[in-house]
Parts: sequence; C-alpha cells; structure tokens
Amino acid sequence: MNTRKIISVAVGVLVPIALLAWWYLASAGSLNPFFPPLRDIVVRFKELWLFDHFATDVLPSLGNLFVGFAIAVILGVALGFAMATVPVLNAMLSPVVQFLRGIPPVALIPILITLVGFGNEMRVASIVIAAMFPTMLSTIDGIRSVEPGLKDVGAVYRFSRGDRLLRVYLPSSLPQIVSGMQVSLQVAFIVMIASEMLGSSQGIGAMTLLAQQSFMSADMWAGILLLGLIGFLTNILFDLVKNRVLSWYVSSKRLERAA
Amino acid sequence: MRTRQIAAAGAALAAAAALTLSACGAPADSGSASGDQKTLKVGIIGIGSDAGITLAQQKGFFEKQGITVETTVVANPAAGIAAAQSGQLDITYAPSIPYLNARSQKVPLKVLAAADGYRDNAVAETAKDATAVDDTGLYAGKDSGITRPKDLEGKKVSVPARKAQLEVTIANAVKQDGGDPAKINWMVLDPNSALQSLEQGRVDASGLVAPFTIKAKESGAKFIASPGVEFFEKGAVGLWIAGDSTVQKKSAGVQSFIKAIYEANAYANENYDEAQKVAAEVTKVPLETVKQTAMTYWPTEVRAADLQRASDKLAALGYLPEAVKIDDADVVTAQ
Repeated sequence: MNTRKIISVAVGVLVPIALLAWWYLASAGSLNPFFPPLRDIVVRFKELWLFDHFATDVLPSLGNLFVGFAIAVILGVALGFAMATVPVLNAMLSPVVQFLRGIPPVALIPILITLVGFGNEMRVASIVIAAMFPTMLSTIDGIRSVEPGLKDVGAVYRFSRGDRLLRVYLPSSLPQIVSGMQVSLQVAFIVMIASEMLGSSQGIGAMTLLAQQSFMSADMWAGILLLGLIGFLTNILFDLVKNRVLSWYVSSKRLERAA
Repeated sequence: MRTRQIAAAGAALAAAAALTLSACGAPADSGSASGDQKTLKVGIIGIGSDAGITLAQQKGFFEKQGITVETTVVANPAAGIAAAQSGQLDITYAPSIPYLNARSQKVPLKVLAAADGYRDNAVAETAKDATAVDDTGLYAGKDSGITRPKDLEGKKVSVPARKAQLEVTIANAVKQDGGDPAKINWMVLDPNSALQSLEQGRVDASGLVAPFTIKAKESGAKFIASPGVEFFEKGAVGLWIAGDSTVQKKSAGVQSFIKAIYEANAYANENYDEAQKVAAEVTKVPLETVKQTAMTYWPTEVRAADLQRASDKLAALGYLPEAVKIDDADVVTAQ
C-alpha cells in the first residue's frame, strides 16, 4: 500500500469519527425533544439493540432482507437469461416488465396484503418484486453485450446450449449482473423497511416508525443509526464477495489498463 | 492530488453537517409559519370533524375575527405535532392520545380548543345505541367466535396505528371486561386492508373508525364494543394544539382562532344537517354513509379534568411511564 492510499483510507475513517464527535458535543445540551443528545441515543441504542430486541426484531428484518434478496437474484438472473436468449419471450415480457418496474413497490403492499396476508410472506414478496428488476435488467444487458467473437468461438466449437450459457455467457456477463445485484440489494433494503409499516409491528423499521409516532426521539434515532449501520455493513460484505468472485475480471481490467 | 480532493470534500461535508445540526439545535421558533399575526397555518387530517374548521372558513367566522386560516392536510397527528412544534405549522389537529404522548416526551405544546369529542351524557346515551354516539368500533370476524372484549386475549386484532387511539381504547375495553390486553396480538393495517383481512379471517377483530365501521357491519362483521366512549367518557377528544412558542408569539391570532373555532363548533352542533354535508365533502364519503355514522359532537370548551382522566388511564394501562399532569395552564382560553 502506498502512502497516498493510506492517507485516503485514514481520511475515510477519520471524517465519520470527527462528525460523530462533533454531533456528540454539539447535541450534548440539547433540550429539543426531536433532537436529543447523542449520548441519550447511544444509551438507547445499547438498551434496544444489544441485545434486547436483537432476536425479536433485528434478526427477522435481516432474515426477510436476505431471503428476499436471494430469491430476487435467482429469479432476476433466470428471467434475464431467458429474455435475453429467447427473442419471443423478450418481445412478450419486455413491455410488462417495463410497466411493472415503474410502479413504486410500496404502492403494491396493500395488494400483497390481500393476496398473501400480512405476515413475513408479504414482506419477503414485496422485497422480491422490487429487488428483482435491477438484477434482471442488468442480466439482459450483460448477455446482450457478450462479445460476438466469443459467441462465434462457442458456435465454431459446437458447445452445447447449456455449455454456452454456463461457460461463455454467464462469465462474460457476470460483472454487469453483479452490479445489478448491488442495486437490487439497496432496493431490497429500502423495501424491507417500508414493508414493516403494515402488519405485525415487528422489525427494525416497525420499531423505528413506532418510536417516531410516539415521540420517542432517542429510540427513533437509535433505529436510524442501526439501519444506517446495517446498510453500510451489507454493502461492505457485498463488495468483499464481489471482489472475490470477480477477481479475474478486476485483474484482467488491470492488465488491460497496463497494456 | 486525489487525497487532497477527498480531504477537501470531507471538510466540506463536515461543515455542511455542522451547519445543519446547529440549525436543528437552534430554538424551534425559526420556522416559516411565524411572521404576521393574522395568517395562521393549520394542519388537519381530513376527517369528518374537520367540518368544524371548514364551517369556520365558509361562514366567515375567521374573517370576523380578522384572521386568515390556511389549512394543510398532514399525514398523521404525529407529523402534525412535529410540524407545529418546529414552526412549520402554527396549529394542528391532534387527538388527545398523541398530544399526551408528546407531552410525556416533553414536547412543549398547548391546547387551544376542542375539535371533536363526546357530550357529557354520552355514556348514558351509549346504553341506548352505542354506534350512534361513538364513531370508533371494535368489530369481530363472522367466524372468530369473539363475543366480548375479553375474548380478544391471544387473538389477532388490527388497528390503524400502534399505541394510538384505537389500540389504547380497545386495551381499556379488554381490561374493563376482565381480560389481559398484553395478550393481544396487535397488527397495523390500513382500513381497507383491515376490512378485507377481517372478512378473510386473517385477523380476528379490527378497531375501525367511521365510515369503515359501516362497511364492516355491511360485510357481516360482529359489533363488539364502542371503545372510544368507554375510554374518554365525555369532553374533548380531538384537539387543536400549538407549540408554546407560537402561543406566545402569535397570541392575538391564537385568541382569534379559539373564538372562531368555538363559534363554528356551536354552529355545527346546531346546524347538524349542514355540518354533515360539509363532513361528506371533506372526507369524500357519500352523504348517506355519513348520515349512518355516529353523530359527531363539537365541544365548545376543553376541560383539563377530561384530559387528565385520559392521561391517568394511559398510565394505568402502561402506555405512559407516568401520567402527565394537565392543568388549566395547559389549555389556552380566549380572553
């Protein structure tokens, strides 16, 4: 690691710390009920999330997030593949997909409640519906942009259809699929919170909303902090996995640049 | 070069955050609603009792007092209270329960006037026909087997919002009936989803507000109780409230508002047919449906004792850590 990189990492770490310290000091004497001192927020954070409500509220929310995200990715990749490789399917589904992805997922929640009730199924279903589209569209784009040369080689060597999909199309469209998945993850996170507005008041989003409506500002800020933290950590986790899976791509790009 | 840019961006961000935060920390009177005394921004939530304030506008009661009132629909009472406290609104509608919740969290608020409530003889009237007095109702599904509030133990009950009026009043009804409200499995559902879930049996009972009470009855749900009147008994329930700083800074405007609202409330009670028509317009509910619902009553005073009773009950049910003390100083009276 060169010095420049070390400095940039240090700045990245220090700025949030400085901001938090500043928040802590500036809010210390706050009497405004909507902006309590950070000290109170941290106390409530500890009382609520470590670990009183961890099993009852944090885990169910995270469970819905990951199950919903996983199903969304599988469906998105499968449908994306099908639409990109079967022109008839694409012609049939494309308008519907464009129509559906325009609807804000939150608007679908009341309909989902009538269809599947208001349990976890509804929450997972709303995450799947919303998070599927980014992955699906990036899969379609990824496969369409596979280099014609690669396709030709596959054809010349008479790869079977399955081989062509798995060994040619999938690897070369993977970078785009993964960046679609990253967008899907963010969408899934937003819908996870929104889906907790109705139904049983269980989950981080539900608790934060309830705290807001009962004017328990410290609890509300503690919930917001936790949501931010989870969003941040899931993104880091995703990046780690991505760099692992796409290491060949990253190094080939580096070679390309060096050449 | 790049690091310097990052550092600069970081510094800019910190400065921006500092500005925002210090703005937040400043006293809450810098909002846009302050300014001239004669124009008041008022938050309403679009319910039938808004007929009172609407009549005050239509009949020129505000004009007579020399003020202009601009109404804005707010999403829910909590949002309205936050806006009133920060000065985005001068006055907002809030039922007494969110008001007491906010007070218990030390939000500085004053009660200006009554927006809706129950007559002093409401409890006696309930014996004859509860649904004619109380616009809230507890309805059980056809096949739920629920016949009385106590049966709600261990059942799924939907309410429009957690820890708000319907939940609190239903919990009160269950406790009065000898049951344990802590055993109820509360669900948050919007009224339409609640009606559907009640029919499908996904919830066992629902706390509903008119006109959805009428629709529940039509779909065959069983009426179990009128939790609202049981809890509040009498006096103001819906309130017009304002932040302490607004009451101080716009005291003349606030006084005029109170006088005009009470004139409108008295007018609405006396001209009930006209008030119902206005209620139908405000809520966009057919007039025939409005006529089937409970009679709205617009009280012409707020008694601290009525609010104190609600506060004590909230604390007894465990919804407040301790009862909020309400006295005459919390209610602004017109001079």
